[in-house]
Amino acid sequence: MGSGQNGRNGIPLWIYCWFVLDALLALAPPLHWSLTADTRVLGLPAAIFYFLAVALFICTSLTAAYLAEVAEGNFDQ
Amino acid sequence: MIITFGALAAFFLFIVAILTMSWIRDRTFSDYAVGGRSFDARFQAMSFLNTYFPGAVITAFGGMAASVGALSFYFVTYTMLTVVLMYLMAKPVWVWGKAFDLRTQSDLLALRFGSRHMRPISAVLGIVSGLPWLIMGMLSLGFLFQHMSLHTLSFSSAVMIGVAVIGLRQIWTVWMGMRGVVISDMAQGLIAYVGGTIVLAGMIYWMVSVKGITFDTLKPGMLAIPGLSSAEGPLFVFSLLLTGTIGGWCWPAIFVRLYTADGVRSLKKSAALAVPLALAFGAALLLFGMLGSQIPGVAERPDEVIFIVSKEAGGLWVLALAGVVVMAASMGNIDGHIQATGTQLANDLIGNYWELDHKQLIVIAKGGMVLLTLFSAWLACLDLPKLFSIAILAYQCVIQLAVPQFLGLFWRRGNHVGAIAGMTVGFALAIVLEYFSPMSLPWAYGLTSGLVALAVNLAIYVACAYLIPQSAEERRRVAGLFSRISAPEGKDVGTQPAGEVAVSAGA
Repeated sequence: MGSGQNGRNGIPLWIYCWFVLDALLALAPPLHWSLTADTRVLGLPAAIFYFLAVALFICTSLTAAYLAEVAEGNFDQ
Repeated sequence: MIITFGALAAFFLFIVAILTMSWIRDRTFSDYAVGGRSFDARFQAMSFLNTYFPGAVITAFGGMAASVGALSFYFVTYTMLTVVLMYLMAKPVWVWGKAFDLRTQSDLLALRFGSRHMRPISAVLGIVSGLPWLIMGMLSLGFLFQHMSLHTLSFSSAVMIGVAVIGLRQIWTVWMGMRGVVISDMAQGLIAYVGGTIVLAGMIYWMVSVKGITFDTLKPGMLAIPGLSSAEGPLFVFSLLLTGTIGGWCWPAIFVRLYTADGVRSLKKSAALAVPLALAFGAALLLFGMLGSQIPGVAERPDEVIFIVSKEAGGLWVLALAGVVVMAASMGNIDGHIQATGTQLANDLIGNYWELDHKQLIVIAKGGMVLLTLFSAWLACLDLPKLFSIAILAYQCVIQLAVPQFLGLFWRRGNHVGAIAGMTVGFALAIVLEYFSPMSLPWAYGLTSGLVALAVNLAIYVACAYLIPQSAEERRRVAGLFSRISAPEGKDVGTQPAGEVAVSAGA
C-alpha cells in the first residue's frame, strides 16, 4: 500500500501540485505575451514550442497520476 | 470515383459488420443508455476521442492552422487540460453514477442539488447548444463527399448524400444504443486517430521533403499569436484556452461517456491512454494544416486542406484514405451525439414528469433519436448562413453548465436555486454579449462572452450558497453523497434511482 500523503479522492498531493502547475503553465497570460514570432526554440517557432511543450507536460502528469495511484493501491478492492 | 467511394463503402460495411456481430439485447434502460457500465479503459479512451475529435475538428482546426497558423496549437494544450478535469471528476461521477443509476449529465445535477427541475433545464441547455454542432458535423460530410466525387457533385448535393449516409448509419445507433456507439468507437477511433496520424505524418513528410515547405517558407504572421497589444485583447489566448478546457465536459454527449466505464480505474487509465494519442494526432493535424497552407488552392479554401493536400500528395488512393479518416471521425461524433440526446429526451424531459418503465423509456429514446436524425438532416440541407456564428455562440452557452457541474462535484455548499439562477442568467447573458460583440469583448480585455457570463453565473451560485442556508436534512443528504466518494471503490454502495433521492429531499 502507498505511503504518500494523499489529498481528496486518494490522489497523491504531489499529483495535485503537478495539476495546478499544468493549469498555471497553460493559462498564465504573461507566458502568452512573451511569445514572439521571430524567436525559435529547438527549431520550432516559440508559440508552437510553448503549446506543444505544455501539452507534453500535462500529458506526462496524467500518466504519472495513474501510475502513482496504482502504486498507492487506490484501485485495490 | 470507384476508388474514393469504394473506400468509403468498404469502411461503412466494416463498421456495420462489427456492430451486427456484437449485438446483445439490452435488458434495462441503463443498458441502452450507458452500455451497462461495462467498458474497459481501451474502449473508454477511444470512445472519448471519437466524441471529442469529430470530423468537423479535422476540417475546422486543420483549416484554422492553414489560415492563422501557430495560434491553432492552443487546441492541443486545452485538450490535455480537459483530460485533467476528467481525471479529477472520474471518481465522484462514476461512483454516484453507479450508486444512483445515473444515465445523463442532468441526472447527476438533479441528484447533487436534490431537485428534479435541474434535469429539464440543464438538458434543454445542453440539447439546444449541441444542435448547431450536430448540423456542422453533417455539413463537414458535404466537403468530404464533394471531394470524394472529384467535384462532380455540387456542394448542396454532396451535403444531401452525406446526410443520407450518416442517417443510414443511425439505424444501428438507434438499434444498439450506447453499447453500439462505444463498440463502433473503437474501430472508428483506431482508423481516425491512429490511421489518421500515420496518414498526416506521411503528408507532412511529403510537404517537407518533396515540396520544400518548412516554417521558414511560411508568412511571418503565421508564427505569431495575439499578444499584449493585439486587437483581440491581451486575455484573448487565455480566454480561448480556458473556454476550451471547461467546455469539453459540459457537452452531454461527452459527459455521458464517464458512465460507460466498468470502474474508476478504467476511467483514469483511459485518461492516461487517450492523452498521448490525442497529443500525437492533434499536433500532426495542426502541423499538417500549417504547412499545407503553402499548397495551391488551400489559402482560398482552408477548411478543405486535408482533401486538397492528400490528392496532391498521393492522388486518389491517399484522397480515399483521408476521406475514410474524416468519415470515421464524423461517424463517432454524430452517432454519440444522437444517442445521448435521444436518452436525454426520454430520461430528462419526458421521463422526468411521467412514471415510465424501462421498455417505455427505450422506445421513447429510440423515437427521439429518429426524430433528431431527421430534424438535423433537414436543417443541414438548408442554407444556414449564420450557422458557424451560432455554433460559436452555442459553445459560450454550454459552458454555463460548468458552474453547477464542477462546483457541485467538489464543494458541499451550493443549492438548486443558485445553480438554476446562475445557469439561466449565464446562458442569457452569453447570448446578449455574443450578439453585440462576437468572438471577444474589447472592454473585457479580450475575454469571450461565455467567460464573462460564467463569472456572473459563478457569483450568483456562490452568493446563493451563502445567502440561502442549507437545512439540516439537506446537509445530511449532501454529506451522504460525498461520503460515498471517500469510500473505497470496490465497496458495494447499492443502487438507488436518482429520482427518488431528489424527491426524498423535498425538491
